[in-house]
Order: sequence, then C-alpha cells, then structure tokens
Amino acid sequence: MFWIKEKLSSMSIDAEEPGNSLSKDAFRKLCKNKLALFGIFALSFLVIFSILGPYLMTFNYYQQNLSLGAASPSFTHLCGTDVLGRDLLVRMAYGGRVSLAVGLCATLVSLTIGVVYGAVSGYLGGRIDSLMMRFVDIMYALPFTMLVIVLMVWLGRNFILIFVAIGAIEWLTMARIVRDEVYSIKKKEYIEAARAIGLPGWKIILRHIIPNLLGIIVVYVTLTIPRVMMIEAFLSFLGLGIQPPMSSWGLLIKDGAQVMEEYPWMLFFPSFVFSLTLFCLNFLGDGLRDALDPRTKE
Amino acid sequence: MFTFILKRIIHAIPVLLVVATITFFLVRVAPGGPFSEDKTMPPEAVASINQHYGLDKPLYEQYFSYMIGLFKGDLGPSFQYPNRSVSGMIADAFPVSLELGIMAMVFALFVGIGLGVMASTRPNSMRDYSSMSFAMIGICVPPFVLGPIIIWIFAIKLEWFNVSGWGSFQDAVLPVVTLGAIYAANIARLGRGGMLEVLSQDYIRTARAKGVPEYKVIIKHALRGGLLSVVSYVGPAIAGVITGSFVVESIFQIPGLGRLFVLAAFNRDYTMIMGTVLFFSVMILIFNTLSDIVQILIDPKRSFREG
Repeated sequence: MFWIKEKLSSMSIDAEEPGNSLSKDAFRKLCKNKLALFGIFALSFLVIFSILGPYLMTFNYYQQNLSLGAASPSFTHLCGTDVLGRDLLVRMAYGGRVSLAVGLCATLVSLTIGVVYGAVSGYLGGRIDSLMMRFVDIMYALPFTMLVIVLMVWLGRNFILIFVAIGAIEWLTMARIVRDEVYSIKKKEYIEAARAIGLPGWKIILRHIIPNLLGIIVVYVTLTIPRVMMIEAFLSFLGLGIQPPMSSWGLLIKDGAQVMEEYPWMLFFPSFVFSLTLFCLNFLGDGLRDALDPRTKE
Repeated sequence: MFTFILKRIIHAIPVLLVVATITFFLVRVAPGGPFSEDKTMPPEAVASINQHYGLDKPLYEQYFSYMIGLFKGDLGPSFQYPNRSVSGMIADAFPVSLELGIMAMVFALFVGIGLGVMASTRPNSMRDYSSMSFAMIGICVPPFVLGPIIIWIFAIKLEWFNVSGWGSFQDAVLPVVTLGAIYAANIARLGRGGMLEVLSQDYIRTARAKGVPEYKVIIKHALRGGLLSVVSYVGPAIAGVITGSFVVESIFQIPGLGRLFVLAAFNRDYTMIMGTVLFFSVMILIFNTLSDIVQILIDPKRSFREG
C-alpha cells in the first residue's frame, strides 16, 4: 500500500488550511474509522498466518493419518482434522494462500485491463467511446459464470485459468467506472481552468485526471478482491476450482458441508475464516471510500 | 415506449448471436464428447450415436445446422436424456427456478427496504448501526457458507425443516433465505444511501415545516426518490436471482434450471448447455429492459427517447 500513500502525498490539493493534504486527511479519517482499522489488523493477521503458518506447524497439508480420522479440535490439532486425518489448521493456512493469491492476481488482471480500456474510452470520447462501451454492454449480457463453469469442466481445473477467467469477468465493471469518471472529470471547471491557463494535455491528465481516479481505483480494488475470492470459492465449492490434496477455503467449506452432521467443526472453521476475510476487505473498502472522499466530514 | 422496446429487441439480436457462437465453439472445441467417456459402449455404437446426432460432420456444418434450428426455435434433443428435448426440460425446470427466485426477491425487498429505511431515518444511531451490520453479514457470508450453516442450525440441530427437497412451502424457507440474503443486504445499503440523500433535500424540509407527520414524509415524499437506486439495482438482480441459483439449487437439491445446467456441464450435454446458456441470456436481457422501463416511468429526469 506504500505506493498509494506516496502517490497520494504527491498530489496534494491546495485546501483552505495549510498542510491539509488529501493523503493526510484521508489517513486521519481512516484512523478514526474503527471498523476499517479492525479490518486492516485482522487482515494482516490472516495474511501472516497464511504465509508463515505452515512453517511453524508440524503437520503439512497432504499428510494423512487414517487411523486418527476426523478428530475434533484438541491441543495437537487446534482446529481438528478432516476425514483423512489431515490437520485442518494447516490446510486452512494453505487454503488462505491460494484464496488470497487468486484474489490479488485476478484483481490485478481486471484492474489493468479495466483502467486502460476505460481511460482510453473516456478520454477519446465520441464515436470510439460509444463503440467501446457498446462492446462492454454486449459482454455484460454474456452469462459469464456459466461460461466459466463450462470452461472449467472442459479444459481441466487449471489454476492459471481461474485467474484469467475471473479477471475477464471483473474488468468490465472497472472499465465502466473508470470511463464514466474520466468522462465527467474531463468536463469539470478546474480542467477547463487548467486548459485556460495553458497547461499542456499530458499535464492535465497527470496532475488532474489521474489523481482524481486514484481514490476510486483504490476503493474499487479493495471491493473487487472479496468478489473475486468469492468466485474462486464458489468454483471450488462446485468442485471445479482448486483440486485436492491442495486446499482452498472454498474447497474446505465444500468438504465440511458434506460431513457437517457428524463433524461440524470442518464446516465452521473454514467458513469463519473466509467470512472474516470478506468482512475485513469490505470494511476496509468502505473506510477507504469515505476517507478518500473529500466531501465527507470527520 | 414501443419504439423503445423495439429498439431493445433489435439490440438484443446481435448479443444473442454472439452468446450462441461463443458457447457453441467453447463447447465443441474442447477434447472429448458427450459419449466418449462412456467406456461400456463399444466404439461402433459411439460412432453410430455420433452420426445420429450429426456429431461426425465438420464443425461449421454443425454450427450452421444448429443456428438454423435456433431460428426455428428448436434447441435440439438432450444428449444425456435420449427421449427428451432441451426445450421440454427447460420448460419443466424453469417454473421451479422462477418460483424460488421470485420468493427470494420478495423476501429481499421486504427485509432490504425495511432495514434501509430504518437505518436512514436515524443516521448514526444504534438502529442505523445494527441494521447496517445485518446487511454486512448478508454481503460477507456467501450462499455456499450461509446455506450449509443454516441447514446445520435449523434442519439438523433444531429439526424445523427438511435438509433438502422441494415440495411444500416449508421446503422453500431455507433456500429463499440463503438466496435472498445478499440481495436484501445490497438493497438495504442502497436504500439507506438513497434515503439519506433525499431526506436532506429542500422539499422534505418544506414538507416537515408544513407539519406533515414524519411517517407520511417518509412514505409519501421520500420513498419515491430514495428508492430510485434500489429500482435500478432490482432489475438486473431479478435476472441474477432467477438465473444464478446454481449453488442454492445444488445445496438444497432443488430441480431447477441452475442444477440442470451444472449437471449438463458435468455430463458434457452439448445441446443442454447451449440451451440453458441462451435461455439465461434471454432472461437477463428481458429483465434489464423491464428495469429500464420501470426506472424511466418513475424517474422524471429520464425519458424513452434515450438509447
């Protein structure tokens, strides 16, 4: 997140009070938002747990213990074990790696495509703009979830394919948001004023359009990651995403749901971690949106 | 309005052609066929079945014959269930999904608008926070988590409902809640935002100053403007709720369209996949158009003359 802060601090808006830059203002507002702060801390904990957890634990995600079977939580297995005697805590850590990685990568894919497409369309305007947006409209009408399901069944349950498929769905919304934003910023008075004092076009884009986009992009990214993670988990839940013995949160939830009558902890722990992550990301996204919106008062 | 609808239909045709073409080639290009996995059948039998369904012809010929069939409204026979047509099976399954979807949407509207209005009338109060946390739960707990958990609580532990099935009204309660929760949550948030914006407008102040009771201010003056964003959300959401119930129908074993599609995808039932995908696309287009019409009717700033 450091690059965002740097960028934000370099684009200070001259406000009424001296030193009241957008980044400082946003940061202060964010710190006052308890839910967002909770989101940041819980999220950092989950990320650290997923990355470092497996190194600190004595079990690994594929090690089976058939004689043990599904054991309820105890001191050796804090979250219990699954039907094959695999430690659930370790499998959740590995699942976290997969789910978070898919969330980040697929969001980056959709972000890149969406921002470039939307900015070009919005900035050029006119006939090219309406043609490009018409294409997005047509893509919107495609039932993408179904096409992804078909793709997954056909082409095998490929890890990279999941990124591409999810990224391909999500860029559409990004493109629309960025395009509308660029289009409306272009018509603002301060852009007109900048033109009037003879600022060159590239400077207008760099100094006035992109900084105003940044907030919306940051917010949108934090809100896209949970959506993407949900699609991945949904595919895994249908048995189309990550394949065992690898684990992902969606897969663990699916396994847990099948045996919840006898071994409810297998459903509860992964469901809890997954929902908690979505909570944190949504809190953070909402918090950032409020913080980066200069109109909201403290 | 009729020219508006006509325009939308004309716009829909290329979209559907693109959908049909993409799905067709996506489905056919992949290795394997609907009958190649069945090891018990001798190869000659597979060949003769393939010939019967025209699967031995070149791809472009299959494509054109399928497209010609489409224009006649013929979705072809199902490959998995030999004696049934795709249209017939969709006609059987669609009412189930429709019923489930409409119930879920009604549930979502009631809960969502209720929570949203409740939160907006006292912003930043306990009431606001508790209804918005409720909405947050709906957003952050996806159906495939919510479904199993409410089954565990209400069907296994409390034994109030059946674990799965689709027959009585009672069977519908858990799936409707599971499916409707996220829509209720989104409606609540949109409703709160829209209402807050409207309640700060001058005409609301005027109404209050004239001594109109608060409940009347909300119902008669604020709701119409405040729920605009909800209406624009509900249209596409109805399409989503009716067409996107793959998970809920799989969890609760409901014989609807979503389950039909997932099974068809696993069985490589070419014509069935094509049929359901096209049917879903048509539904999405219809509901989007309907929601545009409703929005234009209630929003004085818009008219049918726009695209």
